[in-house]
Amino acid sequence: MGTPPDFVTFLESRTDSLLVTAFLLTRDRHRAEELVQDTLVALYPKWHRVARADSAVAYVRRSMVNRFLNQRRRHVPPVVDGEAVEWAVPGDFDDRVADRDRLRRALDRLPDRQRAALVLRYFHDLDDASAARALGCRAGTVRSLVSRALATLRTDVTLRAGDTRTATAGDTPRRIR
Amino acid sequence: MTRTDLEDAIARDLRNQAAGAPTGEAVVVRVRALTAALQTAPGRRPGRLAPVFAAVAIVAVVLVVAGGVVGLRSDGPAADQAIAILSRPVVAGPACVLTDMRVTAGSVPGHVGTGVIIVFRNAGVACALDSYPIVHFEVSGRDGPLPTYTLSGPLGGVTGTDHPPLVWMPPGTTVSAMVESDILHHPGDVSCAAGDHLLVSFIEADRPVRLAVPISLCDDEVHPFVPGTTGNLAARK
Repeated sequence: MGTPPDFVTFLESRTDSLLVTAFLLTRDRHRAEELVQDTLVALYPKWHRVARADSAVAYVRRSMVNRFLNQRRRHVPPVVDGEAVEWAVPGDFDDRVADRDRLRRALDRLPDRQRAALVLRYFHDLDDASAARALGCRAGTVRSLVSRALATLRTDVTLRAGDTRTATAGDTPRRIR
Repeated sequence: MTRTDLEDAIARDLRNQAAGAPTGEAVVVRVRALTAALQTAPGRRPGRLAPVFAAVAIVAVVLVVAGGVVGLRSDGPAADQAIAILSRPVVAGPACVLTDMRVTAGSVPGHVGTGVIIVFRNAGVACALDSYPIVHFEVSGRDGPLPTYTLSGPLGGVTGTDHPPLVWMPPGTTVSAMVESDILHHPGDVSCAAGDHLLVSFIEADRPVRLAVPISLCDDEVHPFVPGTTGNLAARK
């Protein structure tokens, strides 16, 4: 069995794009590479199905998103020792930087499915139906995921903008996921 | 549909984050190797291919090192024998783990407060390092702004190539990575926060190493791992 030429073409032309999506989902460069690699290798034996799909990239992206969500359900990341600390942004920071950081942290705290929905909606500009296909759910579920994520972000960003609690010397930094 | 400010900010933030995504060259090479192994082992599931892939990887690394495809000049001390592999032939063995590294950092000579070199000495087995260290800043015990990840800046990094090298680290060798404040666009800017610690890790799951070193936090950039202790690597294609 030779390597299907369309697999090679896809691999060479679409891997960068898949990596961007994987990186936005995982927030980790190494895990993003593993996710893309594992997805492509898993699809390789049944590439004829991918080739028959309306959009090969949509098929692979859906497989990758599902793999990400399933992996996350199985894998509980190791926890850093010590107490969890909410890292407050100092009030004298430049507002633009502080706002950006608050939003980034709030995005990082979202549940995986909500984050995936935001990536598909706001990074890939997919409509509800396309995002639903990628997530393996109904369009209404996508709307619900996005709506809940936006509500969380609105609350989270607003509340933390006024948060003045500071970490003490005994606190141990813990990246909040 | 009209987007709200929050939705616009989300889209903007995701685009900014996307700029830090890895490039696909290493993945393409690894997928090629794995799918080639699948062809020679019909009926085997991908999950059972680890031994096959490991053998392919080891042979490829030996060929790469023996063949001298490095093609790079490191500004680091000659005694360092970590190797930068620009052509990314295949993953070069196990990934380095932070707990096997002795990590130190110091200011770039002549650029105290604007440039920091983080040095990693391998106290474990031979391993491979790819792309960038993950860096967070602390300002008086608080979380500082996030850096961006770029190949090079005025003080250092990787030049002459469009992607970070894969660095192969035999035991006892060193690699380094440069962190620098954007001194070109913020000359003498006293409004930038003064960071006093760096938190360094290889992957998000690591417990970070905390390093006491001053750095101005003005749109800071982190550059890739390079062999040696200078944080600089000039590729010679």
